Amino acid sequence: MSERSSIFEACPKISFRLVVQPQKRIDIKKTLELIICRVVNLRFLLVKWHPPNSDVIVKNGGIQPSFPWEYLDITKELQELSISPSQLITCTPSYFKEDQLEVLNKRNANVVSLLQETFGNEVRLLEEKSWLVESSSSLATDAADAAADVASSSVDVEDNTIALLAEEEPTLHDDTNEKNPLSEQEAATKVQSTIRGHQSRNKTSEYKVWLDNLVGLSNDNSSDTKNELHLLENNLSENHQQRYQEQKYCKESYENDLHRLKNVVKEEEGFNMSNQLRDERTKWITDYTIKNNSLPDSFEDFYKKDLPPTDEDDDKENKDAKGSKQKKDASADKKSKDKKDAIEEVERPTLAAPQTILDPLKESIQIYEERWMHRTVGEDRIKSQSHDVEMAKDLIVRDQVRSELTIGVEEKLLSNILKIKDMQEAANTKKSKSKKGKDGKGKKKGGKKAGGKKEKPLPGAKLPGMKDMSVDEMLSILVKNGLVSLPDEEHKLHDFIGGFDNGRPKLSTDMDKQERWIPQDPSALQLQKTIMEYCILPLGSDDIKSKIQDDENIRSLLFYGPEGSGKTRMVQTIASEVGALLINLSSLSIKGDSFEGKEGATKLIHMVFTIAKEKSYAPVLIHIDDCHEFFMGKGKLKKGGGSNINTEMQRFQKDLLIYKNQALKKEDRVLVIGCTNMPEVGDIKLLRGKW
Amino acid sequence: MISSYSEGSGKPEKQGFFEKSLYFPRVNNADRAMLWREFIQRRISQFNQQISVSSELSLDYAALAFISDGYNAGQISWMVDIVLTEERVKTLSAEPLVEVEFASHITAREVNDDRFLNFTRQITTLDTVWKSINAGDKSSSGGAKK
Repeated sequence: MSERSSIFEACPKISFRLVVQPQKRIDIKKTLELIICRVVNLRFLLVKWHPPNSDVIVKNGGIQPSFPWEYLDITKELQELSISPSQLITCTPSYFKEDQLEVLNKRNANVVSLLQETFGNEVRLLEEKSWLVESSSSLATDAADAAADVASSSVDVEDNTIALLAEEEPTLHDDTNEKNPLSEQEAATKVQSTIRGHQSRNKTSEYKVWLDNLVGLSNDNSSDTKNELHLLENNLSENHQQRYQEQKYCKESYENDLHRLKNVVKEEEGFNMSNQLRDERTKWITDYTIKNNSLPDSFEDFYKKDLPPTDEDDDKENKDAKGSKQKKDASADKKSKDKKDAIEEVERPTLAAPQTILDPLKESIQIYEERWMHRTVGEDRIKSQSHDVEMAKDLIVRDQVRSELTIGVEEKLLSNILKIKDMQEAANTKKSKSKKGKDGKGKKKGGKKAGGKKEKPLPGAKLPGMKDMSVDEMLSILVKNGLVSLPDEEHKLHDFIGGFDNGRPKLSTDMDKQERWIPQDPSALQLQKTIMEYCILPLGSDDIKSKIQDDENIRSLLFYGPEGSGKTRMVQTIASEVGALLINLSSLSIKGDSFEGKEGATKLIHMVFTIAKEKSYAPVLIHIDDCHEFFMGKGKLKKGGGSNINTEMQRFQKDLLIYKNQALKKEDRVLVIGCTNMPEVGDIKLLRGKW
Repeated sequence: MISSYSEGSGKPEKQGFFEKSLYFPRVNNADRAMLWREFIQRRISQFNQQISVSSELSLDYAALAFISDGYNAGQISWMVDIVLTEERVKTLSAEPLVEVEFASHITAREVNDDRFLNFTRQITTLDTVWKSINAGDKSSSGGAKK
């Protein structure tokens, strides 16, 4: 586990981040993204197969129900391996934002201009909450004065604590100054005493420095080393900047050169290539015509002939061979399955990565070794960081030119085939008029079947005005309603401060009043790790999102906990780490007449999800604050809920469910995060996902 | 041996909205001490980057963490912002920061997170697991009696 994290941490920071050669970067990026997919995959496997607590294990050999607890307690294992828990924390790969900087900047500039149009120069970020702390505002403003007086009387902190707990705050607060301002003499004495105190403290600190020097405990060396470290850090960041500039320059020149090379290859090799393509296809057409006694309609079969037989074909053959025997077995199996009812087949954990990740990973590592390993040493060592022209021709340009030429060649050949077919049909029309009519009807029916299931149109698409509205117009409406904000660059995941262990002290019990096991609260580091693997890594790039397995694709998350525990801040952090656009849905932000009633709700949700699905705005975070108001049960609604709960938000419930399930596809880099400090108010069935 | 399990009589359960749920618990004592220290350092460095919490301030963060039991990161950050104004940071060298300045904003809080625990039980299906374990125990004990 530690190896995994250290490798993963090293890849983006040391290896990938500093590589300048653009083609090498592409190869490394492919491998890195597959590793990221595997990290996410491992997370799901660990949660699935983590042995449950001994108190929730079924005795007497019964079937163990799964208990998917997200947080793994691996303190013992780490102690045995002498690994620090902080080593398990991975950092966000810097390329997530750096590689799509232009797109993100364009999007941000668009949003900022819209925000400035609406709100002037004050760009609105996600609402920061403030809390009522049980002290008066006058106390707050005069706290410094009061504390200075108390400090001079050297009051012990513990005494203060006891005094405070006994609600004796007024004793700490000297408000006599306000009523009776100090006389000149008193003021002068106070100023003098403050200055004297300041001078004596200075003297004491000077004496301490002198004494430390004398004894040999001087901090001078440490300050020197600090300065040296600071200098080194500065140098490092300068080098990184330089590298980054080089990367940018090399990437741009590579992309520009690809266009130029395409034309060069077309001119030099285009004629031969198109001839070769035409010959291959003409030969295939003649073979096909001889074999089937008819001309082909398309070139689908031409590509199929080179493919190896698929597993499905093998299965079909096997099925045909087994014949009726299998049918009998299947009916017997069905009966036994019905008996088992809700209990599915017993699975076993697999340690190896799934083939969808493992095979491409092996391939990409092999490619890297073949292309780049020999170039880093010896005579072949890369002298220039600019791209390799021959490699670009081999890998990209020739394929592009070939595919372009193929389209042209196939179009020409198909038009010729169609002409020949038309001539043949014209000759046959007179003979088979009656038959044709019947065939036509049959074809129509077949055509309908081949079309398959049509996707249901989303409810918002039917609404008037929604069809013709562009995504930019939708965005401007949401911005005007104060629902869109940009991530704040300052937030980082490691700013979520806290330790690794959040366990209870050994003296306390792990059982509640009914003597049932209490799951331990997750620690800050555990939460950091979970957020990284569920939210940040999958949102990093389109490739990662599309490579992640279907059952590991998380589209919505619920954060619950007491107020002030960092839920909203975590949403901002995720947005900041991946550079996501934030759409804020909460009862406070959805104001005004624009989205009133059920139709208004559908309109809003339609606009939100249309924007979220737009590739040029990706990634997008949809933040539903106080989500219990959106997902309240009917029973609780009748009771009226709490006095502070806005029951109007219920109207969004249906559309949110429809759009999350139907509109969001796997490749969309969209995450819906709901936050609540009153989860018990919401309907558990509506909040809970599939377990 | 672990198998997947569906609640009730085999009927597919209604699909809810959130696919995963994460609990953000109340901050514990040790974390609170870290938070106090970090927030104070950050706030001071907003106005004066030369003052270092470790060398120039001698606050008892453990005591602050102790008296702020029941307070979370958000509230602690808010209190630090209120106490450490720009003017107060300017006068730090003359009047060192003391714990009482923060303590005057703190009152004892009753901590009761049972509702979150109950919700955790429901959303993680722990209650269902308990029920199935109890049902299994009863049936096995009943069988033994027979």
